Amino acid sequence: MSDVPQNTTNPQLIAPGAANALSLTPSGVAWTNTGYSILIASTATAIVVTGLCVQADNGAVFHETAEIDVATGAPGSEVVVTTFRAHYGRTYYVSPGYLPCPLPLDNIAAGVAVSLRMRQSTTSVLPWQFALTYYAKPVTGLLQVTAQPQKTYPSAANNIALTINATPWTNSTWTQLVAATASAIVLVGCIVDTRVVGSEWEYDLGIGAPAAETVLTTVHFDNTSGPTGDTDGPSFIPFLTPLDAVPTASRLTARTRASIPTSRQALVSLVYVPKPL
Amino acid sequence: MSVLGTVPLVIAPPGTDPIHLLSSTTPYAPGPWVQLIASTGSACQLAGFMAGLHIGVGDSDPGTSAGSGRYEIQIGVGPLGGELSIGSFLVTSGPCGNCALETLMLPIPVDRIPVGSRVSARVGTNGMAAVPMHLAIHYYQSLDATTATTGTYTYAPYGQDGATITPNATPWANSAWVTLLAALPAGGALLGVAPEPQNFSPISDGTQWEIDLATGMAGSEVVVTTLRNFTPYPNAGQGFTNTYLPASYPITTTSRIAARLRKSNTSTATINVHLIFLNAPNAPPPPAPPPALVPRTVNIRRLRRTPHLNQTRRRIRFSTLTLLAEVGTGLPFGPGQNPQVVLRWSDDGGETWSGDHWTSLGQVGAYLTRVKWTQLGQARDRVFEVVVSDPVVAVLVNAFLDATIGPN
Repeated sequence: MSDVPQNTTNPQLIAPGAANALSLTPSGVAWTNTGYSILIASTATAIVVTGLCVQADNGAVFHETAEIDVATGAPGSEVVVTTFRAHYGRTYYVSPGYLPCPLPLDNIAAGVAVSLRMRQSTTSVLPWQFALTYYAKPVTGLLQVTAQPQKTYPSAANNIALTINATPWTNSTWTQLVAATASAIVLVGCIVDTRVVGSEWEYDLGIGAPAAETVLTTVHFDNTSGPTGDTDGPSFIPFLTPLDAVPTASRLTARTRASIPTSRQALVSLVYVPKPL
Repeated sequence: MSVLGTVPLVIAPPGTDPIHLLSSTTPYAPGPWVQLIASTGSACQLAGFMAGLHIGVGDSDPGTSAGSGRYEIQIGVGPLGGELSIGSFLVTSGPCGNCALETLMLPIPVDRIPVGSRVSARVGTNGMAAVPMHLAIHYYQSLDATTATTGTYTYAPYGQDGATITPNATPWANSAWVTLLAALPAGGALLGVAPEPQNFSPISDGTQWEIDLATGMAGSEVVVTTLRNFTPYPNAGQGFTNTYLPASYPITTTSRIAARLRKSNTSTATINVHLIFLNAPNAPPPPAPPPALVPRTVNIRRLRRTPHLNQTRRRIRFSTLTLLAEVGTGLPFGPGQNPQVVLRWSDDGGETWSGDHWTSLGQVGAYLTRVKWTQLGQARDRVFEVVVSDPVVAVLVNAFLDATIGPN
């Protein structure tokens, strides 16, 4: 393996830079888009999107999952180029929220408007704040990029509830997340969402037909919350070495195990980039 | 090979409670090593942590919550008592109300764990009280992507609180530059920053911040990149504030690294910031070991020598020499990590000397280390000499000798 394989001497840039973040007010209807708000009126060069700073509302809203679309084009003609997803057990307790792009997006030309819109799982209308990080092209060094958008499983819907085994550190049964992927995909992260006070968790993401699932990858995290089980967000675990092990038409699954006996909820969603990159 | 991998992340310890670490009571000096993996089945690449500070119910050993602070996690490779750190991973956390996920993935996996390795971890913190951390690691086995490095994670200022920045009172106006690292050697790379959230004022108001990193001498700084994030909202201040670049920024010539900050509010309360960076493979260790251990320890050779051990020229058989010394004083990184004391002797009045006989004064936290030598031979007139030259605090108090006299 080479040393420091992903590197660049391009400066990371911010939009809006040295200014307050872009504020979006949710629609008030679950999983219904806001209108677009312009983040960059016209890009000075082509850009490579590297991530999104997210500050959830300050409203003590429980179990709020959000998706944020990045789009290009003039007002009224926007086209979504990538999507971010985050989850907050309670938005009063938001933590520093940076959602990286494990595969940065290279699909925004010079001279175009860049806009954001959001949708979320609750009816809260308290505003959220966003700032985009990016490189101006050309990017020197070694950086794997893609013109493909980030997408999510599920999309514009609540996280998927998993089965739970009540015996500590014993696997649950597998829960299907996706019956058949529309294409080969590269997994770039997952959203984890548990509602059990003070507990340790492992999620296995799996692939394969029923009763023949194999583990794709495993994550370990904790729920550090108070009595309502509301660990804050953004609860995104990025796969900074993206996982390229999901062929087209794959059935994706997940199972859990936890440190305490519980019958409460554990949920998950996936963030991926469709192939070919 | 590409940056895409096909092998899964795996966890250590798998399918069970995390291991329990305890820091030492010396700021930034780590506590004892705790084993994570008895023996790796293949070469492994460290990918991230679950660094549990918010310790409570749900674990077989709840302990107490550590909360706000700066934590240096070290991952060690080697047998019990011979662990060598493969990197120092700084995480900063606010004063937890509810906490975020305490899972932190490294921007670049670390490829420094050979097959058959025993893997351990230990933690230090900025405070003077021993605090607990629950730790699990994410890693790959034989990662088939080009994303890993054999460089060394570390941070600056090393072994002390972050560099102090006084913000500009005008929103989004730059502070003055402060030095984070006097000289980052060529071959290193910038990875990110870790501001200390409890310093933001008013605490936890959701402040938006940007930090510019620059190279160049004082007064001639050139911005090389920028990072941005938020601080938490009231009653929280939780979660790790580590903020990473999307790709490392390589350093091609030895450079001073400086930072300046701008933010969304008018407070001028100072903010402490650490740089997280990668030293090139085989690069020298961080330039500033913990200040509590530094004073008057570098380039000093401490030597103690016994009087002549002579019983009317009768033969003396020396079985054991035990040195009473302050032990467990090793540094967390680099020279002095496993401090040595060397024994030699002369049986002819100092004309000639034996070979060197090395033993350890104990790595940091190894307070039960016994410093002794056995099977020391015989002589009619002997002088023993011990020397410590590692850059650690060396307190040599006394020595005890087991010996028998005669017959001639």
